[in-house]
Amino acid sequence: MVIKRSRVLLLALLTVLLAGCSANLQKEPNSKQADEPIEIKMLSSWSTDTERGRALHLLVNKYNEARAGKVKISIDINPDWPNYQEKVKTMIAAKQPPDLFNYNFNPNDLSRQNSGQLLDFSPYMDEQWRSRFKPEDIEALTFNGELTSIPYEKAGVLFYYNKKLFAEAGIQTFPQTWDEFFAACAKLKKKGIIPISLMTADDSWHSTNALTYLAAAADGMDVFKAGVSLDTPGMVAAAEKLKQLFSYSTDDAIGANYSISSNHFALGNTAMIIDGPWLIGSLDDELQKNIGISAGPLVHQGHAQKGFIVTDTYTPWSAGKQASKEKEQAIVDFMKYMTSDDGVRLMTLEGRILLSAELSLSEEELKKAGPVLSQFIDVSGSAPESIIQISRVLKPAAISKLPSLIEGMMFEQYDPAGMVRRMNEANQ
Amino acid sequence: MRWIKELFLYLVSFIMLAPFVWLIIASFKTNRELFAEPFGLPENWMFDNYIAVMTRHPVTTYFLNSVIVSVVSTLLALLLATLASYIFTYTFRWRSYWQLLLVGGILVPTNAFMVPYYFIVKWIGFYDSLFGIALVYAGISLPLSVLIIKNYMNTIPPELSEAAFIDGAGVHRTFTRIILPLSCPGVVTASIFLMVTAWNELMYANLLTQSEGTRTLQVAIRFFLTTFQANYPQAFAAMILAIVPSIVIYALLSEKIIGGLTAGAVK
Repeated sequence: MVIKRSRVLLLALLTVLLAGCSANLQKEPNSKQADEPIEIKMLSSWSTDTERGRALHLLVNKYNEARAGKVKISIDINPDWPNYQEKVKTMIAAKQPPDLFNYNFNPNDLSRQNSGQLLDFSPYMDEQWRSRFKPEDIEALTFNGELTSIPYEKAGVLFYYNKKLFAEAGIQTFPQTWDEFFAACAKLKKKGIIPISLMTADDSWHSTNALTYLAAAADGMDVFKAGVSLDTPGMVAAAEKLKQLFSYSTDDAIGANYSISSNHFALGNTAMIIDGPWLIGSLDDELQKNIGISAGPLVHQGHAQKGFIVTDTYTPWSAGKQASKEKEQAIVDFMKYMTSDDGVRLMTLEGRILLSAELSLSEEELKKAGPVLSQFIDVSGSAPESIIQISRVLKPAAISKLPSLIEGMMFEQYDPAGMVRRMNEANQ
Repeated sequence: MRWIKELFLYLVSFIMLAPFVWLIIASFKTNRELFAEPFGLPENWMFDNYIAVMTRHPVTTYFLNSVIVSVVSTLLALLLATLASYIFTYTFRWRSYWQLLLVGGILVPTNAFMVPYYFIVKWIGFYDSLFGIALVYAGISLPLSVLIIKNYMNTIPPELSEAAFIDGAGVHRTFTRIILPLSCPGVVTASIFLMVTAWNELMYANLLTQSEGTRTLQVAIRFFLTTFQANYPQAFAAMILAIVPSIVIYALLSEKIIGGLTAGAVK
């Protein structure tokens, strides 16, 4: 009797499992009823707690209203960016890519592009749509004739400085050279003001921003170019200056993460930080009135032009290949909407994101953007040249080692030349 | 000598409790207060962070999801682990190899299974469902639970099973009426480990769910610490809410846990 009951239970369990499997198999992607809208799932890390997240929701809602009954975009939020990136890679590896997703582009990691799982936008890239982007951005994201990523975010990473704290130290303008920069740091420190926010945890973002500015000022915009050795006198000098810069940062800089470092600036504890426009949302209105934005300082006999900037990498949008042609076209239609003048305007002004797509803002719109974003747009727009941040262009092994290499240098485990040599080895 | 022991105990207690106390205090501060005076007391003890956590996101739903996932995964793992452990009390061909195969799963890093788990869960139609995560947690925890329960079952004198057989009980009846009730402390120990692991797990919860309706509390905490904005006091408030159930479970059942772990140690 006991054995019979067990068998019945086992059979029931198997039936449930098989029912689950068959239910899934019956649901074909093309089985959409004629009156049902096409559903597109968009993965994003931009939660509605952030300006960009709220702006994206607004944009999607507008699109859904305009295509009511035909297409429905839904946003699934995954706020943890590193986990989100890992998830997307797993989905692609399992040959089940998301409908739409964004990622940090790295020319040294083309696993997504080479997966064969991504939708090729090039057949849809007509002249009108192409004209929305800079040719070099399209070119940078085209591989083997396929455009599997649409250029979207490409923000400048600029110097924020607190004019009020600068004035207290008797500094009137932002330094134009690194020598002037360190002199300004010394003045600030003398007044009891901590000059700059730095960090070494996670991707060591604020510190690697400084390293990129220092390296590019010396060796120019090709300093991190693939195939070029990083072990140059310019890079060693940059590492030496980075080490010196840490003496002008907070006590917790070694070990601090992005939030700690940026909060120091946002709360007025430090006078400078190097970051993207997403930081603006963390600065209160009073502080924003006192914020100046600047491009990078130069070095004597360096190879950079005055006003050069560092940018974050492309954060483009990609889509998974679709079995349904209708859905593929709906995705393309949505991407065109996102990169349209209206879409870009909304994301720039409401979400404070600087995008790759063309956009000209009126004086009134710039004013509406606020004092910091308008400066940001101005400095980014007038930069004669730019370089992508070091953490976005090295090979994955070197990227993951870089924060610990900086910490090793700061703990005197090796000198700046040793740090650069190790970084170069990891990048081979 | 006694005072050294006491001093040592107080010191260890302080080391263990200090971070938790700091977390509680910090959850009552504003972001500004936290960065201005990380170790100071809040100017006003306010519940704004807890209110924000509860109102800005459906935390009650996430909490309930975590409870469901923890309970279901624990029940599933226990069902399989007790049966597997029981069969290993018998002698059969290749027994030690089967045992090694099952328990050896402890040594395999769980990240290695990300792609296959994602593929299988999606294939059987349980992606973005609480049952899907529970199923994976049960699978991941199976080796550890088998190890704990089997070790406990090994302490039960075989004469009891033999007596049951003489009295006419079959394999199943001996399991349900004799071995399982006697293994209760081991099962409780395993279940607590399973519950706490499932409650705190982030990687698979993140991978196998997507919509708001299936989000667990651990995933939701990340909303307060995003790449673009971080409000630590609110995140700490969310963490406190997430930690409390684990502490309560452990406090209520600590004797069982220790009993289960040390069972057989002085046989």
